[in-house]
Parts: sequence; structure tokens; C-alpha cells
Amino acid sequence: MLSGNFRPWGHFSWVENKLEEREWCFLGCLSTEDRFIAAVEQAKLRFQLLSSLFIEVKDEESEYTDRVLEKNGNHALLLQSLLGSTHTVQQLKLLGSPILLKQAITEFIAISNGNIVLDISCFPKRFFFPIIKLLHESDDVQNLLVCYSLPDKYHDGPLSEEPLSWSHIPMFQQSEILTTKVEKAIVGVGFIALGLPSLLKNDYNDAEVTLLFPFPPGPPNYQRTWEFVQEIEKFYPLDDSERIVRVDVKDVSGCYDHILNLTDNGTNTSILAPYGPKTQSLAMALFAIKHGCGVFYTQPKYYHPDYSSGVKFLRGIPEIYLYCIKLDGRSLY
Amino acid sequence: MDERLNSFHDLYLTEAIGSDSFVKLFSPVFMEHSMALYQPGNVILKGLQGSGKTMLLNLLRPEIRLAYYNNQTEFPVNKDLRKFISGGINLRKSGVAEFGQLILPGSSIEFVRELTLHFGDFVNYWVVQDLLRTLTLISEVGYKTLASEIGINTDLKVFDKFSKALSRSDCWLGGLNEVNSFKELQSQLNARIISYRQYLNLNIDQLPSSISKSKTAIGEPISIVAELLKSCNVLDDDTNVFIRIDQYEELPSLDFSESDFGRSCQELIHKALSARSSRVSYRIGARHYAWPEYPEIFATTGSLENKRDFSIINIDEALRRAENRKGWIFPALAEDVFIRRLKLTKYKFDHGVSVLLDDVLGVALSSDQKSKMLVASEQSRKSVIKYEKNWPIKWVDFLEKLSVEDPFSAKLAEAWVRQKGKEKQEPLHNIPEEKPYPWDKKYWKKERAEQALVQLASRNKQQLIWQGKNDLIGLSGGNILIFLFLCQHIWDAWLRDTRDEDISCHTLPKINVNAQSMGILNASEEWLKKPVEGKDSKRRLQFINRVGYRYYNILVDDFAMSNPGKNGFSLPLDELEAKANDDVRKFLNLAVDYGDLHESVHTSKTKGEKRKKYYLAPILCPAFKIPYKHIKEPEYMAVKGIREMIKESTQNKSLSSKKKDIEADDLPLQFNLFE
Repeated sequence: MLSGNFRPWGHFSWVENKLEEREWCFLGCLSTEDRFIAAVEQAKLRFQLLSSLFIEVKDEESEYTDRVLEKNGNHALLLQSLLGSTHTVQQLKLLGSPILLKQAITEFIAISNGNIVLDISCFPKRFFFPIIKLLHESDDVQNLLVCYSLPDKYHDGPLSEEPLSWSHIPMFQQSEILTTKVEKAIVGVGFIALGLPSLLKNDYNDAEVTLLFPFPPGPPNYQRTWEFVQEIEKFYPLDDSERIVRVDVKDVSGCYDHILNLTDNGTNTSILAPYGPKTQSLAMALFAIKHGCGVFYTQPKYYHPDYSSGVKFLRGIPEIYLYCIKLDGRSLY
Repeated sequence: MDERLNSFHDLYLTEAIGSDSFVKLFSPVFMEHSMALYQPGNVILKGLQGSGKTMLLNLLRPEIRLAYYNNQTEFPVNKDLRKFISGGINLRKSGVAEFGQLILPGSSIEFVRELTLHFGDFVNYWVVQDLLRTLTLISEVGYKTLASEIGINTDLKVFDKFSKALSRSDCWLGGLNEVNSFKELQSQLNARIISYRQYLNLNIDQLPSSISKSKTAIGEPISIVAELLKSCNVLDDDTNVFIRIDQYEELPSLDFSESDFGRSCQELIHKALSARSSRVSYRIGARHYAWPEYPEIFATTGSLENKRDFSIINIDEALRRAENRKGWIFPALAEDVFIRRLKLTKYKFDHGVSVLLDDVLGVALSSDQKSKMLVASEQSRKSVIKYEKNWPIKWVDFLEKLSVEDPFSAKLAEAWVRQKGKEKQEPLHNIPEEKPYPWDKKYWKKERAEQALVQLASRNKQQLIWQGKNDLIGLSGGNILIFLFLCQHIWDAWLRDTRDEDISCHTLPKINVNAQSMGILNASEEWLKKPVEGKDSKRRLQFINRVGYRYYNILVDDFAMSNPGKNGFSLPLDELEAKANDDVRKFLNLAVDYGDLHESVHTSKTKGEKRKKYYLAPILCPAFKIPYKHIKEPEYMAVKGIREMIKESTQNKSLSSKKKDIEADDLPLQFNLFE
């Protein structure tokens, strides 16, 4: 609210209650994670779903491939029993051309009624960043909601493996050539640094690094997020305590405002590195769309089939958050 | 409050430091080996990550030149080679990878070819833009003397004249409108680059037809720019124009959707070099195996030739120790870097460069001294020898006594008697009574000293001791980044170790053996985590672990110390280069490229046979408790054996089961003295 914009968000049912629009189209990710279906179940319960598109992201071949196929196959059956013929599943390669993703989203927008709910819970950043951009920038999308379901728990070991070189997320390369130095590098703190520290040091040594620390992380995430900070610290000493900014992990709007503040209302030349929770990454995506800054990541080649399991419940209902991004054709960010 | 600083904590990656710090920290020691960079002719600068490729290329950048000028510090290039300007492109940072992402499964060959030409056009515009930026920076008011030293005429009228002439050149194939000023020229170049980036960002569905119809030939506009800069009197005739292309290794990874796009882009870069233009010289920064053995030229059947079309500076080769220590420059470079770091963090000292490391780290301990630290108590010394049940009692008594007095000698004696006892019975019954003992013979002892320490540490469940300048330099493996990384961890360990002591932040530290050893072990373990970055990282890490544990087990279990050199493996070259072994060769090349393994030519014990030998990077050795020194013969292996090791390493077999495998299948036979 620092910017004066009211950006409604909260528990799915709380936000949904206040929306006039009742007919929506749903865009989600068919994945190995149990939470992939939580939001669409709620959406089906509370809205009239006109159509749904689920993207099944095909990782690179790995030792996990068979297990991923098995889990995805079971989840596809769940989806079929929930949505019947009103949904489509499209397979896209994780490291495939973003043009195919753009085509899929453009076609989905074309058949939609302009009201779209996007579930980012299980999408890799390489997918949900471009999706958000395409939906946000499309004049045909009048109302855009993003939802995020919390898992019951994350896998104890590595969540992803074999990161590629540090590169832009597709569609998030700044168009301008940076003739001036990058002033700010804003890093979302996650579980695995994936080679980020040395890359930061190599390419943006002059930039002031700020870490957006998800708060409260809660055990066992607490230890893993601090390990991430420690990893950065080893390579890139953080000169003062202000370099770590604690942001409410669920508050996309607040996180967006933090980034605005850190970059002097977006006027500083900045780059973003979304290694943190999806909601924080969502704020980064929205900021980058508006201010045209580059978003960089070391994209893993594949994810663990047990990335997360279960769905978190709060007082008997699944903990799913809903964020209003566009209402009546107006962007709230 | 402890105000002492770790001189190596920040700024430890010299290749990326800010311009002003660069001036203070850049060591000119390597300059004499890199002079080709500042002379006409194409140069391929090869090296591992952290070897200093980017740092050396940075010396060509205008920002660094200006920083030296502003700091009133002598530019570290010979005076007669300082007349140059440069422009360039970092292939990773400029985002060229996005070109490859435009290729879809089933994209036509024509489309991929068209895209390749667009890549060339993008590189042309980017580099020309960067060259103009260089001119802008150096011609700013206040840099007249520098501009004059480089040979730049700062009169804006000649800039405009040049711009007009350039915009009218045919090399643009209609891509530029005629301009009247330098600024206008820059703005047109910029607009084209922005169009490209919009296209690559999928913000526009296709490039404007004006761009598609005016794709330039790689290198041509760059060459024309150099020519016109001189003919329009912007540059002196004898000012060299250098073009930097960094992160060349990005290109092979652009073969998206099973296309040859990445390879075609490489060939396009080779085409620019093939012009052998006297107007411009290229400097390509690349990892070792990214630069092909036969660099083919785009749309021709020819390839570039080493020494004719380009020369190679191999940083790692120049900085790694050869068989002969003479002429090895890394120690001097490391000392110089060390002293610069300490000066920057305000430590006070007036020592000469060559003694500072010794002063801080102390005199190197002998193997004998290390052994006494590894097994300090009398009780522990009694258990350093593995006695065989059927050994004569007098040998057992002798070894037991010797192990208490001198555990190092006792360990060597154990190996000696196992070896000699295998050959004939006599040594078993005749115990040497006088010193020097036969196992004290200079080379016999020297070749087994490291293995003896490994075994002593293992028997007593201790870490090896790493200490002193030689260990620090040796573990760095000729890589300055690793040297700084080790220093950083030693310093951290020392700060922790002495946190309760009242030591001034200006007093040069005397770092004790424990802190050094602990710091080095921490650094090694940290470094071991590093290979999880980059191509095929998981398999590489698994393989490294397999290699490390394999040689630890071999060295520990070889009580006769018959194979003290087995901390690496050697492969026959003809087998390695056979087409059928592409998989293993490529995997090993990758591991070498990422610095996991060190590779060198191996003179085989079989006359006429050519082999290559591979060792773990020295920095990884402390984590596996194996020596980094390469003594005697490595393990002779066949490619099949390595393939098997790669396969096994990915099967997550537990180490204990692996140990059994090694014992059963691969270890040298343990000799029974009374067989």
C-alpha cells in the first residue's frame, strides 16, 4: 500500500468472495507436486470454470524421468476426474523454445473470456515469468488473478539439479544496452544458490546487492534460507545489515513495494535474481514487466519428483492465496 | 571488538573487481607471457574459470585504461604497445543465447541459417557500438594526454566526418541511413540492437524487414570502422584496434532443438578471424575445449590454422608447474598478489615480496615433523604399524620401538620390509641395525613420504597436515582464484583461532599450522561443492568423488607402498581418441574444462606409447585426504575402466561397498611375507 494502490490479496475464499466476476478460465501446471490440483479444486468449487489449460513441463532426461512420468500420469487422471473434458493438457519442454509457450498462452487467451486465474504453485520460473508477462500485457485479459498453494512440506534434499549458466529468463532481458553500471542487484533468498554468488560477483561486482529474505521462513526452511545467505556471504560480503530485507513471504504487494523502494521507484538500474519463494518471484516479475529490468536465473535442467508433498491446511481448509493483478483491464501493479 | 580484516574476503575474484581496485590489485607478473594480446594478430586466450582470462581482456577495456590514468599509476603494458583501442562483446552478458531459443523442433535449415546470419549482424552492431563507446569515453574532456598517448584525435569534427563516411559505407548493405554526427550514428546502431533485443524477448513477432534485408557480413563493418577511423584521422595510423569476444564457450551450448546453430555461430566467429585483416585483431576468451581443434570457417570448407590465423595463450599451461620447477612463474605471481592484498587491507610490513608468504605461514614442516604431529602420543604411535601375524618377533619388536621414536621412519620400514620380503626371505631375518636405514635412501623415501603420511593419518584417524608456502602454491594448481580462495579460508581459520588474543589489525599475522591446515581443508571441501555448477555437473561431481575415494583407498591399503604415484590415472592416447570412446573423451574433456581434473601428456613406461594422465585438481585433494603431488607413475588404465567408473559413480553405490570392490578387484595384491 506504500504506493497508494490497493491490491487485494488474501486467502482464496476471502478474495473470491469479493469479486463480481464469476466465470473464469484457469491456467495451471500439471506436475509431480500434490499441490498442483489444490487451487483448481477451489476454483471449481467457487467459480464457474469455462475452460482450463494445464501445461505439463517436460524436464531434461534424468534418473528421475520414470518417476516423474509415473507421478504425472496419476495426476493427469486426477485432473480428468475433476474437470472432465473442460480442460486441456499441453506438454512443453522445460528448456524448449519460449515461442511455443507464447503460442500456447496466446491461444488460451484467445479462447478465454478475458478472466484468467493463473496458478503459479508448480510452474518453474522459466514458465511463469513469461506467462505473467503475456497475460499482464494482453489487452484481451481484463481480469487476472494469481493463486499460490502452500505445500505441506518440501523435499529434504536438493530440489533441483544441474543448473545452466546464469542467463535471462526468457522475455526478461532488458532491451536497452546497459551503458551505465547496474546499481542494484536484488536477490530473492531461496533454498539453493545454484552458483549465484560467483555469478553475481563476476558480472555485477559494482552493484549493491540486497537480499529479500522470506519472513517468517519457519522451520525447517529457516536453516536452508540462512544457508543460502551464508553461501552468498562467502562470495559476496554484505557490507551492512540493511542488505538483508525481510519481506512477508505471502505479501506480493508488500514485496513489490519493497523493490520499488530499493530501486528509488524503479529509477535505479537494476537486475533481479528470483531464487526465493514463488510469491516473491511474482512481485519481481511484475516489477520487471513495469520497469523493463533484466531477470536472471541459473535454470536447473530438472527438478526432484518429490519437490514438495501434500498441501498445507489452515483451520481445515487448504492454504491457498489469491492475488488480484488486473481488474477491469487495469493493472494494480 | 576484533577489527582485523580478512584481506581475501572481499574482492577475491580479481577478474571482476571495480576499475579502481583493479589498478591496485592487478599483478603485472603474467604480463610478459601475454604480450601477444597487445600486439597485432588474432589471439585465443584459453583458461579455466578464474584463471584470469577476463582480467587480461579487461586490461584492453577503456574503463581500466582510464582508471590507471586517474590513479596516476603506470599502465602495465609496455610503452611501445600502448597505442590501441578496443571494443567487444561478452557473449553471455549480451544475451546471444536467446537467438538459439528461437529455433523450434522442425525449424528449417534455411531458418537456422538466417538466424545465424542475424547473430553475425548482431555481433557486428554490438561491437561497433562498443568501439564508439570507447572513443567517447577516452575523448572526454580531461583525458587529452591519454587520448594522445593512444593516438585518438578528440576533435568532434573528425568524429562527425568519420560518422558520415561510415554511414555511407556499403558494408551496412543499406542498414544505416546517412548521418551527420557521431551521436546520430550511435543512436542508429543502438536502435538496431534494441530491435534485436525486442525480437529476442519475443516482444515483437518478427524483425523489421529493413533489418532482415540488410544483414551485414560478420567482421566487415568492424573492419571498415577501423579503416575509416584512420583515414578520417580519428585514430593515428599506428593505433591498433582490438576486438574482444569473451565467453566464446557459450556458443557450443546453443545447439537447440538438435540444430547446429551453436556450431554455425562458432564458424561465423572463425570467419571474422579468417579475414586476417591488418585493420583489426580479435581476442577470444574461451575455455580449453570450447575452442575446436579445427576451427571451421562458416560457409567454406576451410578452417583456421594455429600460428597462421591466430596464436594461443594458454593461461593454465603457463601457470601450472611443469616437470621442471625452473621457469615456473606462478609462485612469483601468487606472492605479488598476496602482497597487494595485504597492502590494501593496511597490514604493516616492510618485507620483500619473496619472503612474505614464508613469514606469514612459517617454514614448511618436513614429513618427519608432520608425522610426529599426526601421531603425537606414545600410545598412538604404537598402533601406526599393521603387523602381520607371521612376522618374526624381532621385526615386530624393532618396528614397535622405531614407531615410538620415529613413526615416519617406522611406516617406511614397514613398507620396505613388505616389499623386500616379497622378493626374497633374507631381509626378514636381517634387521638393519644402523642408520641410515635402507628405507632412508633419498629417492625411496621421497617417493613414499606422502603416502606414508596418508597412511599415518588414516591409522590415527587424523586429517593430513597442509601448511607452508609450498603446500599453498601447490594446492592452487596454477590458478590464482584458487590461491585467493585458499588464503581466504586460512585467514578465516586464523581469525577464529585467535579471536581472544589481543592482536593489532595492522600486525602481520603468523598463522599457526593448525589454522592453516584447517583453513585449507575447509577451502577444499567448499571447492568440492563447486562442480555442481555447469554442464553435466552432477555426473562430474559423482565422478570426482569416485576418483577421490578410489585413490584414497588405494594409497591407504597399499601397505607395501609399491605404487606411491597412484593418485591419478593414465590412458593410452590412441584408445582415448578412438571414435568409439567419444563418450569418455568428451566427459573427461568437460571435467578438465571445468577444472575438476588436470590433464597432461604422460611419458609411458612402454617405449613409443603415447598417453595422457589425469589427476584431481590439487585443491580437491585435502577433502579426499590424498596428496596433490604427482610422484612416480599414475595408475595405468584402459578407457573401458574409466567408462565403468563413470557408470558406477552415478549408481550411488555406498563408499563402503566401493571400498570392498576396490579391494577385491583393483588393488595391488597385498603381499604375504611368508608365502
